[in-house]
Amino acid sequence: MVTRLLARLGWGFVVLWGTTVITFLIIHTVPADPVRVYAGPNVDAETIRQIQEEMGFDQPLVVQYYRYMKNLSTGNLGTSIITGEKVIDAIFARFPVTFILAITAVFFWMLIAIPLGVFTAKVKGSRKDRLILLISLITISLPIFWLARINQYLFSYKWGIFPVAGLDNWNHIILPAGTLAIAITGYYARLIHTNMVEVLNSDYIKVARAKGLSETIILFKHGLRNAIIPVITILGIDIAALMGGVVFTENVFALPGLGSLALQSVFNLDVPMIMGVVIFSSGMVVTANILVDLAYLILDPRIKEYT
Amino acid sequence: MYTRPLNFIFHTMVSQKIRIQFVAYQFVAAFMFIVLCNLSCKNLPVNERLKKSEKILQIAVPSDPRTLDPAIAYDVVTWPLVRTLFNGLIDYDDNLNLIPWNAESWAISDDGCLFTFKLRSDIHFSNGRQVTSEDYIFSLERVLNPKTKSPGQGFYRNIEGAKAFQNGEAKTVSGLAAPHPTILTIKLTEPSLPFLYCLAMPFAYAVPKEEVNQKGDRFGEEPVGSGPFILEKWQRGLQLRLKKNQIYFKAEDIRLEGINLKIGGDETLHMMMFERGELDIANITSTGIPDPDFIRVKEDSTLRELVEHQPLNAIMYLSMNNEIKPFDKVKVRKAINYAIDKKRIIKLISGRGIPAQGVLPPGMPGFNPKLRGYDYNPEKARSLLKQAGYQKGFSTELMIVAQSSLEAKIGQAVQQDLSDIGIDIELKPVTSPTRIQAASTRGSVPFTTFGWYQDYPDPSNFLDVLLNGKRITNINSNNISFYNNQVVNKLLEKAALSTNKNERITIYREVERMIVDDAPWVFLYHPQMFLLRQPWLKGIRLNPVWPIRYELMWIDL
Repeated sequence: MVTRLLARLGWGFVVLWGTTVITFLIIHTVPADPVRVYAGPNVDAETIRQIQEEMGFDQPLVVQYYRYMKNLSTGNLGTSIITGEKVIDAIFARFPVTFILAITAVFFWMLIAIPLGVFTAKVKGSRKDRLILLISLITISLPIFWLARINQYLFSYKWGIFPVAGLDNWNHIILPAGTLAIAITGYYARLIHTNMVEVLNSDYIKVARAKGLSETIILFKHGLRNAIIPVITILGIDIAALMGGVVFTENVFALPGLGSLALQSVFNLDVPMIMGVVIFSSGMVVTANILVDLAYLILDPRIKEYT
Repeated sequence: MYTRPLNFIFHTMVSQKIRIQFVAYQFVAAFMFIVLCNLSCKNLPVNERLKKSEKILQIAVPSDPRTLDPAIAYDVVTWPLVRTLFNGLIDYDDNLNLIPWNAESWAISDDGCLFTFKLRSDIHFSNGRQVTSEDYIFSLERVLNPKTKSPGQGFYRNIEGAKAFQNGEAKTVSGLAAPHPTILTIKLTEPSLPFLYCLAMPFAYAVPKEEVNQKGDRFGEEPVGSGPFILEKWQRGLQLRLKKNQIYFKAEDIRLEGINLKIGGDETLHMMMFERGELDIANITSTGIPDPDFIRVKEDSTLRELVEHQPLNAIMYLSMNNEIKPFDKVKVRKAINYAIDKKRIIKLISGRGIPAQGVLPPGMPGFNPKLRGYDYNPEKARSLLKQAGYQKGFSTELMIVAQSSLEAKIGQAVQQDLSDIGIDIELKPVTSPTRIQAASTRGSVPFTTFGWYQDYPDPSNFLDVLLNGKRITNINSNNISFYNNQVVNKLLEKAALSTNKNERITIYREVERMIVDDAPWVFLYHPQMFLLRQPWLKGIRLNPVWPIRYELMWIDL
């Protein structure tokens, strides 16, 4: 188990290193000068040259990457070329908002998706199942920025139930989290449905039924516990992806999370900030993968035998 | 960053019948939403102010100001904020005349090289210390210091000793002197009347040395100045709060208790917040009222009364690269000017501009109301194209900014107009940074849209900066049409060195006439700013240099 964990950690570092290379190259492939974005359109060539020199953008790409990695190896993600903020400070200032938004959304969607998935598995093939399937597909298909805007328009602007935008208190999180939940619940409901159907056809469930156990215990204690294991893998990675920033939702609702930071950094061609956010997000996904692996070992003892 | 594997579910788990039902459901759902939205869009009232008792101005911007450091900030959203925190030597009145601010008076030597300022003695930084002439020297040297990375350094390089200071050959700028705490002298290498305008720019505002040295890079986040407001709180991505500076030298004139800048969201969201009474001004970005709402606002009898507008000292133009064929031929450039219907373009952008006859906008000193540019005349355009040897037309690309709906409209209109005279235009949408990088590189972009907003109200800021052939550089050239007329260059040089206002204006008018005749650009329009305010917000006095001055505003409920 320790060997497996170490191997996964090693691969995690390789993935992160690869991410730095790819991101660095992509940013510098864009035919635009970050110094121009920093200095504005009106400055003269001499000023651009002076600032390029001061920021180190006059150096060859390899030298720039080497310098970046050298700083990164000491835990220094650099300083934003646009705002002068330390990248690590900016990320940690924004992360709590994204974290709360993601966790609230996960809570909402799992709260609805689990009973819905179990219920539709039980009534598989019925009209109710089909109707729920259709509704799920519609919600999955809705573009999230559009859904967010419509929710904002109706619930905040027209009816005044929730604040329009911003983050004065945690009340501001409910509508954005609800929006994310609407878009994702259907997917999880179907995922749980598929796994439950498979589990409900297994022999041990038939035995449970033959023993006369109540349907609730069969479904939630014996059925769901096994059906939820594959869901956890996807949920883990989804949560990690959400932690990297929920770009559209955060932007529509003006939430100061990692998503809005990422978007702004891209618009500003803020190289250190883009690198920092991407590395942080990749780190979250890599960590989530490793944690999911560990969770598997705990949830399903059979896996230990294969490792 | 977050996607769903939809197709997999759709195609593997759903039967054909259900797929059809699903599509039908989607249509029904879309229809219902459209109906719902249309019903609820009608008769939107301007609500009451959400925070009734507060005399704090509520405004919003899509993203954080980059910095509040006057040496670095350089955009239309941040400058009005910087102005509330810092003061400079001189300022503008409503008619764009320069007036004393922190300076009591000033004098210019006969040769036009030496500027002497007498400073007020009652100006204090918000930390309590008096502002002296040494602070202005420190502030200007800081802008010129390459380590500050100030985008404004170019405006002050004509101070004597500035270049030596920048190259590290001198520790101070020899042309700056403070013979007394209230006397400041600035010596230039050659006469320059527009230099006074440069001193009115926020780059030249006074900053306290002790605070800058103590805070270092954080000065932009924790600024200390001598302006009418002080920074109370800045939560990046969320809000920026300013409160009244009680020791400001004209504190009794400031009627706002503070300013609350909400950060995040786009123009549409800000419009919703405005209509719910959460904001006092709908949009403070250069766009003003967002495009989708513009017509609705103009047609709404209540909202229409709350719109303020101001023609800006700016120009939107199409730059033709005079070094690239076929734009190297003046007849081709003229033909394109005649072929484009500017009035239609202005209609397409909801009347947000004034047709341009030449380079200088109407609010600019030296503007020539008698100058006639190119009226729409496709017949003449065809004839000129034929004379230039392009009777069959030609094909080229027009670079536009992809994110701008305004430029897309302009691009399509130009494409249509030019196709009428046989010129086939392919639109090339790119990001704004890519456009500026490419267009300012010699020999790379034949035809592009471009805009220029003034730095200061002097004709040189348009004619000299954008169209002087001597300023052409191979990369990062501001003269993106690479227009180079030796006579124009000489006249521009003469005007730059002249200390006679009237003579300068005469020369610039002549220069503009020659430029219009050479047609290096298609002179499209001068943009206008439209600002939607709440009925209780008073004191908005727009002008082309400072469209927004928060310190003049107040809330009257």
